[in-house]
Amino acid sequence: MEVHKMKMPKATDFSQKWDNFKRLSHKFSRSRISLVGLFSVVVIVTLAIFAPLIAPYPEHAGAFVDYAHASIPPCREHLFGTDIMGRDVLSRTIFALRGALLMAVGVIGIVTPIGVIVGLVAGYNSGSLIDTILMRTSDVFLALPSLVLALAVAAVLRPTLFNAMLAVCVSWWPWYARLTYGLASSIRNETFVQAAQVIGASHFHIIFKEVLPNCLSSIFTKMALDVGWVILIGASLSFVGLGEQPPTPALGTMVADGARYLPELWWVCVFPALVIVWMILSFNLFGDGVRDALSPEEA
Amino acid sequence: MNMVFFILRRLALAILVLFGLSILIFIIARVIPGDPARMALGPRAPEYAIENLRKQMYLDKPIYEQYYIWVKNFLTKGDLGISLLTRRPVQEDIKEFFPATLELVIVSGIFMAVTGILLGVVSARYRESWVDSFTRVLAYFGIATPSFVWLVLFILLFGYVWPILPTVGRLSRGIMPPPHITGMFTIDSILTGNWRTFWDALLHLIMPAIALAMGGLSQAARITRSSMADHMDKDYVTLLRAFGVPNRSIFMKYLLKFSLIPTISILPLDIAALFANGFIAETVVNYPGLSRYGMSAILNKDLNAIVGVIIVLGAIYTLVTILIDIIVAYLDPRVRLIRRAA
Amino acid sequence: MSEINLLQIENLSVSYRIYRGLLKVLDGVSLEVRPGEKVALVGETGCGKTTTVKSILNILPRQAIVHRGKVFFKGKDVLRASDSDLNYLRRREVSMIFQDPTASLFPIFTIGDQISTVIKAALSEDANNTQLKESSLFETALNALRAASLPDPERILHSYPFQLSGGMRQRVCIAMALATPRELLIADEPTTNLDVTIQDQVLRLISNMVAEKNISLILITHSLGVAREIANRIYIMYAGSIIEMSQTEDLFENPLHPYSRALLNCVPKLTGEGIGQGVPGHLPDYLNPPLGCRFEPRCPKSMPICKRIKPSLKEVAKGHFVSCFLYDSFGG
Repeated sequence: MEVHKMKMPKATDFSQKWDNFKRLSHKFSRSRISLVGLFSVVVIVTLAIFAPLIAPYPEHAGAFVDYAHASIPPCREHLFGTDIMGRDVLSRTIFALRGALLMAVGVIGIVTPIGVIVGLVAGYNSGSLIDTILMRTSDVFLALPSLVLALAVAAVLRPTLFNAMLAVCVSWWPWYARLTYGLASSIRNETFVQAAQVIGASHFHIIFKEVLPNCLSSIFTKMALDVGWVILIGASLSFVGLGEQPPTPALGTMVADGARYLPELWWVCVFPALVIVWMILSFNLFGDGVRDALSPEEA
Repeated sequence: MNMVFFILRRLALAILVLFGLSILIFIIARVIPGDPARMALGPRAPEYAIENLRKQMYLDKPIYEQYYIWVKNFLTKGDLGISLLTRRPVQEDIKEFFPATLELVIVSGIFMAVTGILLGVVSARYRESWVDSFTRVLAYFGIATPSFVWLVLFILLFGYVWPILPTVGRLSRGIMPPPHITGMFTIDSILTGNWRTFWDALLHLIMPAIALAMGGLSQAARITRSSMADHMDKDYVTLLRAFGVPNRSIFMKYLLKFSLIPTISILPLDIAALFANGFIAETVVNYPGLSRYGMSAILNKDLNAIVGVIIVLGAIYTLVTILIDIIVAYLDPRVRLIRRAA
Repeated sequence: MSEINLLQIENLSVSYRIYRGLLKVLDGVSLEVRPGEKVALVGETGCGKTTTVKSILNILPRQAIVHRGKVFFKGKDVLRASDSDLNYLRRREVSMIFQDPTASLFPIFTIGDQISTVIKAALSEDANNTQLKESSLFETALNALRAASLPDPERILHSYPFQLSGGMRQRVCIAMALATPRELLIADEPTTNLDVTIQDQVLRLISNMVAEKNISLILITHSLGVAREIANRIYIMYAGSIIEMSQTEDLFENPLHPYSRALLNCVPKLTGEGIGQGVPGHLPDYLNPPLGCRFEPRCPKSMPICKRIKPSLKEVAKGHFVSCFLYDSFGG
């Protein structure tokens, strides 16, 4: 009989992680719609990063006025037309993508660690005082619709992009806490966690090495799906003037400003609105793809 | 008995949460840069007037005392302070504006639920057909589009291009509001037989209501469809088919109940969105509701009004959430009857 | 021949469409059941037994494609029947007990609700029957539960499936299947998901009820022991084809197909000869099944011809059919 010598890969083996990634990407690409979403997202991110190079009139995104060329409907030189100050709507829209993406990245980047840690701690100590305190606190933040809380917070602070981000963070973190809490408190009762406790592993180790990895796929899924929502809230905030201030272009602000000149200067309002929809749609499709890729395999 | 205990427990928790919320908002509203008294009176107001106002608003006292005064007033007299903008007691303002928003939310909510669920059912029943594809595409757009975009689009299309719908307010000029019974124009006009007023009020509601409903509608359709589709291939449905139970029964009775559970669980979020997006929608169409009041309070840093509106909204939202939990428990006996380790 | 037989499946070939291609599960299955007969369909998990019987009621899943074959019930082809004929078949003629009682019952509706729905459907076929009132449905349901030896049937009608034990749930399914008159009962591995102690009870129940009402039975099982107890005739199935069929006793006295022999060896014997080796290997990949005999890769007696051509079912002794080139001297 042959004895096969088995190679035991470590969990942190890079090649295994790469295999995992390849497998997930393959699953992701099975859905054409998700690929469309991914492609769209890549386009958006590229436009945002290289805005100064891609936008036809990059200087229009700042303090720029040219009344001679104001209120021009869409034409070859100005694909989206110009607004009443003579600024090229297309260029401003491209630059506005930056704010939206920054907001999304910033919010999710801040909210995820905080929310997840709160959820982990509360879930791990499920049923104890810590749990109650933490979760009731997050309930307080959830007692209001996210947008309302964000509006309230953003309104009492000076209107800047950073403060708008902060406002959304305040109203968004409890969702991650809740998600993680639900996962952690049920995983905590699994046998492998009890086994680790019996061996004498430290709490820190158990939380971060046993419980957390099993929550990761749900957390990542939520992160991917949330990008679209955060962009939506960001657009809503800037629509009412709580976000980046002029002259920096923001999508919601452009729609609000343009709405005043309906229906004559419809392009000032409609194009940024369509871009908002396109952004959110793309990230939603992308998020759906991530969710499908990370979900457990079905027969 | 289980049920009653369940409800009481939730209510108690809710009250606790609302207290927490009031503290949170109070702190946020008070700890702002800038001086609310000065802002209310304007930059050219004399010093003594500002000082007076500050004393009136207890701004000179430490923050926990301010909170204590506020709570005392609220709980004993229902007094939420005076609004800086309207100079009236906040609770009066709220009483005046609330019915309008309630009306909007109810109309929107009904439209959202009924249309969404129906679309979902049809979509699932005729899986993979063009009806299904169309609905799914529509749902995608519905979710991805902020309600203010829908509203602006509607206003453009139906307010200007084909001007068939009014774009401002609750009633057209020249139409008197009906006698105040509930404060909701549609209901009041029906109750008093005022058909013209009813129709006018309804027309004014259509665009904002549908714009607000789009997001939730799409969610409901998607969830209903996917829930039904999930269960359609399960053994229990196969069994019903094997026994020749008619399709109508399978879909509208059995599958629907299943699908209602996740749909209704999502409702709190959607209703939240209705109120929240109402802030924006009401401002755009100048609809005199609570949300617009709240919005201007926020933008003008009208402290008492902000806190008042937030508390009221929080309370409503919490109540709705509890109500939905009850409905879910009723629909899913597993939740009701299986004892959960709290 | 089709007039005498209650059920006649002829040369049925069914595949399942999956993402990676076609799973060619059933490859020419033929089966028949006469009135009052009890037939067992034996085979290992995944060999296509459930697919075969699902075709009888035409409840194959969406991904199933029927390439060839006919399923005659009382002379009418089920696969091409009109909606009203199908309804009649499902409501009055054939009923089925599924393998997993937990999965076959709606968790959020009471037992009473589901049984009444089924009974109502059955009774609706009777034009004269105006007794679709709640009370008579209730009565019928109660009687059905009593017939299935369920204690305290009233309480059960108001219970939800999760409040009952596995054995009780399966008995509820049996009650449902036999609540109204039927001509054929299909029992798909009715005891597989139950505790060993309950299995015998449930099998006895089915056997008795079927005998009482003089109903034909198709019993699917992966246990030859169970088949021997209940059935008059046994079909042995492997990878989508019938490989052997005979009267029960004939099979046990003289198993012909190598697979049947191996199966029999697995059954522990009182004479203490020990349990057999089992059959090494596994079912073929249905995506790319072998062109010849599907058992050949595992067969200890395989011959070159087995790889190239698929043997057909031939009568080798009286009433004893087998599909194997060992017995087919004219193979080729």
